[in-house]
Amino acid sequence: MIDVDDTEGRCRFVVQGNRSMSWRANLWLAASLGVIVGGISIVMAFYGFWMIVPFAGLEVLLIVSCLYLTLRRLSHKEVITVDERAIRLEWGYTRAERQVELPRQWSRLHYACAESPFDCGVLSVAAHGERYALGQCLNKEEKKSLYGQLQAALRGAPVLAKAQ
Amino acid sequence: MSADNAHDGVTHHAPGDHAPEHGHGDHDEHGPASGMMRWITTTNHKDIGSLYLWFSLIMFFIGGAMALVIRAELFQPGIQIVDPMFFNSMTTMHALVMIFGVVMPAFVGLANWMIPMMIGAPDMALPRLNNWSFWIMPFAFAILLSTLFMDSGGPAGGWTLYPPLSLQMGDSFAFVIFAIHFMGISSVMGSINIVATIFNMRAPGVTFMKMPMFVWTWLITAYLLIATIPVLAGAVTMLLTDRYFGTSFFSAAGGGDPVMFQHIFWFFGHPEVYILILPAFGIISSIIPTFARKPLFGYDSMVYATASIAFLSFIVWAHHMFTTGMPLAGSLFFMMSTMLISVPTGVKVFNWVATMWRGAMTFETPMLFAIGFVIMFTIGGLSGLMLAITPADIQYHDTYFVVAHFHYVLVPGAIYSIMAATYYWLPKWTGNMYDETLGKWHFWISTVFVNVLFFPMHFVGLAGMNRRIPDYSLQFADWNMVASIGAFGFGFSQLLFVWIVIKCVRGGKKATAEVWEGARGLEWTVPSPAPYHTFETAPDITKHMVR
Repeated sequence: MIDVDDTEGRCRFVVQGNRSMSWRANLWLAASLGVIVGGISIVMAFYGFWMIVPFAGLEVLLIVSCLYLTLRRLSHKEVITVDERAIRLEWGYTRAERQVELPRQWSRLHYACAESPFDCGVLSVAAHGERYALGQCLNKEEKKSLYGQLQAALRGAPVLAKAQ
Repeated sequence: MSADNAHDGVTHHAPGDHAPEHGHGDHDEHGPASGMMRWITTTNHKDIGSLYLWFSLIMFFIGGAMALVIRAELFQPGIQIVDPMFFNSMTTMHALVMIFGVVMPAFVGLANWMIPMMIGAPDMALPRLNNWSFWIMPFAFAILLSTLFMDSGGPAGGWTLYPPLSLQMGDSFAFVIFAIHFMGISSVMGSINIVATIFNMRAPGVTFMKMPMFVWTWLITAYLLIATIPVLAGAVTMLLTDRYFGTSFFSAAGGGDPVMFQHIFWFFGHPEVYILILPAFGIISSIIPTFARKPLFGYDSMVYATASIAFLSFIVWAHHMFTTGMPLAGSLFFMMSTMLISVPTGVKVFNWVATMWRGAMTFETPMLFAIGFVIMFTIGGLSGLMLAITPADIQYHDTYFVVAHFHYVLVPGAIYSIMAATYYWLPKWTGNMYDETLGKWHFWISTVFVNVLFFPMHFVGLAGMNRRIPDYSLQFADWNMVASIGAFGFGFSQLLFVWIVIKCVRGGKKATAEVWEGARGLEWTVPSPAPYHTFETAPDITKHMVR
């Protein structure tokens, strides 16, 4: 998903994957699965078949790990801010964990995509020989759209449409 | 993250910084690796879906060949072709292969292909886990099938592995248990991935009560798998320790109870039956509205019926064990709870029929298979209702009537739904239309032979023919001969299916994005063939959801 905020000489793009459930709801999900699996294994253990318990425990551990990894991945954000002087790139989950600032006048956008249906294109921004990939969670059409909007922002033209 | 608080610690660009490429996606921007490495290393849900489906097809022919060995032996009374031990291995392996190697992987393959596209997600939530959950399967089945070539032969005590019989098999026993563990790990990983995907990666607006029925049925199936696989894993591990480490969980000599294995096994096994059929319900609920050109009748009741079936599946397990002896109260409870399942199942059948009622129906191949499913699954359901009645079951138990019942549920039930799904979504997968004439031939030949194969089993079963025997009394000869003819006819007619699929993959009339006139849902909004990467940005769902 791309959210665009174009106000008073500064244009900001927030790029992140779509996430349909909150951390809290995921906790409830993990807890509900834990109760089902744990409940069954405890009843079985009560009748002497305790060997089901370690498998149930491992499974619950796997569920929690998988949900955590999924949510963490979906929480990743990429913020691209274009102002009069610079292009600022920030990556992180709940805060900016990595930031880069490129001089606007030396920055070049680059979009490459082969005709192959397997290729989802590469959008990047480069300055002084360094290149940074942008919008890696986006598909071909979205990268094209982000490319167009970034070009407009760099030209100083208004970025009108909220990207789809 | 706000740009306002991002000024602290800003790294201003300077030449010579280390490699700045940064990303978190699991997919390769330029597409997959080439050659075999594409398939080994892929994390793309469509690739993995295809792998599951091809694997399932190969296993279908391996399991089918085992069925033909069984039917060839049963063509006439007497020991004709294979020795009884090998015959027993064939019945055991046929079941294990068809359940864990055909039906389950096929549904997982369909889930991989379709669930992300149906909910507007770019991929499964855990793509690398997805790759692992597939690639464990070929190893698991290589181990399982290799036992046939071991000195002690393959497992021959039935797929239920009841002790003490299963504990008497040779050294291949440990390999069988190991293979079952691998299958379980694969299933659990696949299920967790599906749950994580459905909960976390739905496009905005795709609320739970707007999800296609296939997604709903798979979500509930995944819950069943997550709940029951540890029970299976524990049960087979206890068999292993009884055999090799001197424990007595199921050994009466050491104070254990072999009947308890049956309880534990069927606590897994009966939900497993629904694991094998709930996704089929979802497929049929997608296909019938398309070709009836009407929305699914009673969507909400379909969801609640699916959930009810899943819940009830946990409290009916002992109907597999009426003959082991149990208190009257136990018999009554399990008989009634089993009969109760026919209510939500009846709701489903009613809703499918009501969807077709006064619809602008056309009868393309997927619809033919779907209608075949509704009719023949209902036959299997009705014989199941007969088996639920305790005093009747005591007569029918371990006869060919039971074999007829579960084969009607699984072959014209689960397998037909997989074939219907394949014909339905094949144009979306390949971008080409399949050969409709050949598809219809495939349906009619299969339907004739599947009934020639399984319907006579009701008669021989009611007349008293036991299951899992290589030889039988002369009075059963005629119907067994008929069933064997049906088996070979059905088996060889599936070669036509393979030909149709390969022909479609290689080319044909180009499919449109919508493919079917009445199709609704997000998967039909993407071009045919579906692009390698879809919906990395959530789509607008308002025009395309099924409801």
